[in-house]
Amino acid sequence: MKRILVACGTAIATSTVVAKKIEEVLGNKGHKVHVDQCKAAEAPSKAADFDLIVTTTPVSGTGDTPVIQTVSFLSGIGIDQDIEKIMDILGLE
Amino acid sequence: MNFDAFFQEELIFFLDVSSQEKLFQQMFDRMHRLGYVKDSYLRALSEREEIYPTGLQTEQAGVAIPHTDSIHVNKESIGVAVLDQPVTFTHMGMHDQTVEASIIFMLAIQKPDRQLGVLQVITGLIQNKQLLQGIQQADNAKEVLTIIQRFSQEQNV
Repeated sequence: MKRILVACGTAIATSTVVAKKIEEVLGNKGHKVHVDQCKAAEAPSKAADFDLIVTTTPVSGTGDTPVIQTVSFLSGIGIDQDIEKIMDILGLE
Repeated sequence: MNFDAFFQEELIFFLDVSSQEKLFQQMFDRMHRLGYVKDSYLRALSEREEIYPTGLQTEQAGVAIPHTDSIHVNKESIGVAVLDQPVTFTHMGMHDQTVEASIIFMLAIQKPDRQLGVLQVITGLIQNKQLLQGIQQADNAKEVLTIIQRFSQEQNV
């Protein structure tokens, strides 16, 4: 199963919502993915265990793991494009 | 979601403020006086906003969802402010962009992992043009509360 790490500033609010939304949208397309969430500062130490990082705030030091920085899942603007990007990176159809 | 546990008429604000600082101060004053947040909440909230800004540009309006760690919260709640004139926030994740925010959801959250329902309601509201417009045009706290309540029932979370 593909693994996605969702990061935000303090993992209080936004990453929870983003993680759920990604799980839902991909689930509706028939893709079951594993989604974890963390604080942006924790992303570098966790990155290697994931296929993709989706973050609402800039992260660095995440090595080879691809990163998508977006707030679309909160603002509602650009969700479709971001889902396409996510599926593309994970090789999902 | 237990709607009444989070949204209260006494936590709906109609404000005319000239800066983010004054906005935070006024919302904090009432939330603190009513016992929802601790003394330390305001400073923690302001500091977090500096590092991880919460402004969001949506199709209908600029909004913001300021929040901070649960240790500064006494009683879980959401303060909702409708502003006469927008206040400038830095955009979430984009430090070089600002948002003129006119609706504020100030989150006082204690157990983030169990608060998905209320967070989904807020995100859903933010993404819904008609509801945001309804909130902007509401005449009183009851109207705002009714809009949020009806929406959270529809969402059934």
